[in-house]
Amino acid sequence: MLESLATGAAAVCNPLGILLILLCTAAGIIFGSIPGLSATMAIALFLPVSYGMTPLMGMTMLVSVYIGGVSGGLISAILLKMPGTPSSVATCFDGYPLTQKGQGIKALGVGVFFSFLGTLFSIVALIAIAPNLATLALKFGDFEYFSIAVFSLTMIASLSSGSMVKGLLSGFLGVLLTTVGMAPIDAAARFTFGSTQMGAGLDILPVLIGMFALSEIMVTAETSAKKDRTQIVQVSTRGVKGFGFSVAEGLGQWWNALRSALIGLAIGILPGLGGSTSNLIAYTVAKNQSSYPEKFGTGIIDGVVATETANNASVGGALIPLLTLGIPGDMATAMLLGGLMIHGLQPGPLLFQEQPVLMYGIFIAMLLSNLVMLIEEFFGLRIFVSLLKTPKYILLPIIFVLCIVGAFGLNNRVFDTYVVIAFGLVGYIFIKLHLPVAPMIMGFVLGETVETYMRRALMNSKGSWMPFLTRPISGAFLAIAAFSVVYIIVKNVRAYRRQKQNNAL
Amino acid sequence: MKLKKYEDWLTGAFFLAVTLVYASQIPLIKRTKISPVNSAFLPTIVAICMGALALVQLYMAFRNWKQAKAAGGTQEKAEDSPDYRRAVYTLATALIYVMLFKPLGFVLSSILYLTVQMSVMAPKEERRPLRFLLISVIAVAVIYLIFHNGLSLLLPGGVLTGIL
Repeated sequence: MLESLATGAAAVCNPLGILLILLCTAAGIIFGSIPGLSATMAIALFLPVSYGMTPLMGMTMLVSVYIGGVSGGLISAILLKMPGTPSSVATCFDGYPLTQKGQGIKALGVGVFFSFLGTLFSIVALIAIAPNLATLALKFGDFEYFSIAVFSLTMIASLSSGSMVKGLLSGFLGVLLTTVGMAPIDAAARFTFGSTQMGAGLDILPVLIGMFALSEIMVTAETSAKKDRTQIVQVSTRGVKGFGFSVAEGLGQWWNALRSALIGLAIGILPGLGGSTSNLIAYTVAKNQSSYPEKFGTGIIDGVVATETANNASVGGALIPLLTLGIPGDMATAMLLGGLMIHGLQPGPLLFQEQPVLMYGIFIAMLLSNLVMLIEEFFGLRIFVSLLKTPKYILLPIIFVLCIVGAFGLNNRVFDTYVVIAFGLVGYIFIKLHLPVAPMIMGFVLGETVETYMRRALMNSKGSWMPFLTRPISGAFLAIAAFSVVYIIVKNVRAYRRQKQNNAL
Repeated sequence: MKLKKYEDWLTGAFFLAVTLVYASQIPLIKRTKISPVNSAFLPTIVAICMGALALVQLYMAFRNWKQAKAAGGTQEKAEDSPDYRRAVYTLATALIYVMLFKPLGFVLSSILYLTVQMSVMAPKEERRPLRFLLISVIAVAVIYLIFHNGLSLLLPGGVLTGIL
């Protein structure tokens, strides 16, 4: 393997290869950092450019855009409370409060560094154990996917800060939204109100832009007319060294980072689930296992470490089934598959034997791009923060125009821009009523997976529900899901009784 | 602030309204026999759970209201009063922007939107429409060049089709 890696490195490390990695990683970071322009869109726009290149150079370009794009999402999540990509939704929860405290540089530094570690971890896993992991992923059928999605949905209860009922309502609203459009399996039209546009369903990107970006602009507009509030937040860069956090702080996060990397990798491997799910799950697990869960959401680095390690670890994870089995896990990897196919290459086990230079060259390109991402984002930290010096009445409308470009460019239809407006209003209602957004996003991300796999599994079992319980992996996940629900209920009942007793005293 | 006082009630009412509209559409879903459970199965579960939770939310709002009344009402802290009008203007400006996006084209609608939105959000003493117009033209030109010319993203030309 080392020999193959060395051959791959020799093929990538030429002036064109290095230049492509430098430029395309930067382009990916810019795309990722702008809410509305995702890593997927960046790959889609760069895909035609790769056609005229050799397969290795084309893939070098695309994986660089991918790695930069997933990581770049943290910048706007931390500085503006607007996730740059769906993968960095949970980064807002603690990243933005840190910025509000004047520790934006530290939050960015932590995010960038642990993004690097997350990606590195997953690339090493991809190189070392890809075939074994891919075989394991193949054992997952419809029953298992359904159970994993149900298990992940039970995390909604943990994501509900404050009122559990409000959290559950928010989560169900997310699932409700996934049922709009053509149903899986039989393509029955649902909740389309006679509109053909609604038939295609709601895409996550316009929903997220509306919920986070437009609603935030509306809330900002309420107070922006006051002169003392024209800047978003003051972030001092004076006296900040390196990444803005100490070695002790970094080392203190080792277990959180490792756990989140494993979560990100595992979720990334499973087709259909990716960074958009893993960042929320890693955040929830970090919160649940922390000795100070009440501090989550107030601006602590633990939250940023968990989400950024996990979503970047999903990058390598998603490439495992793609490169070893030819199965794309999400839209971004489907685009990468397209990048290989336009050169007449079909990913799978045979490709490792037939094109070792290409495959190992891609691995080397990923490692280099990850390093370049770290360096570029490190030197960009102060530039990103200086963006906050722009008055918000200028910055936010320009970001919104970019959001609309992203929403429109997604499917080239104006309908998606209307979705942004509608969800801007929903997001504003959520903010005003203090409803948690995270459960809704979780429900939205997983709702379709639950329904599709449930219906497919039931078709396989001829209507019997028993295999969900009797198949070992599926049964285990459902048991853990049931346990976690019971645990949360017991915990809440106890907390309620304690509060009642305290009130009585 | 008044909204805070009615937050729990409004939450329950909002979700109950969503559930009622949603549930009213469930009978219209075409039932097929391809799969053991049809396409109305999950929506029905969602509607039942959401409806029940919305009612629980309304009950909790009622209970809290009764408790607050028994305690003689709590004093609300005086908050910095938000200017809701500007939020509504922002939403309206954004809506008009997307409505004009195709007929006027990306360039003109975006310049118009940016100039108006900046004027809506800026403090009175910093409101300089000409400056905003200039910033908008530059910003839109840069975005258009990058996406349309650089990355071949098809943005609506509108009235400027054939000119740009």
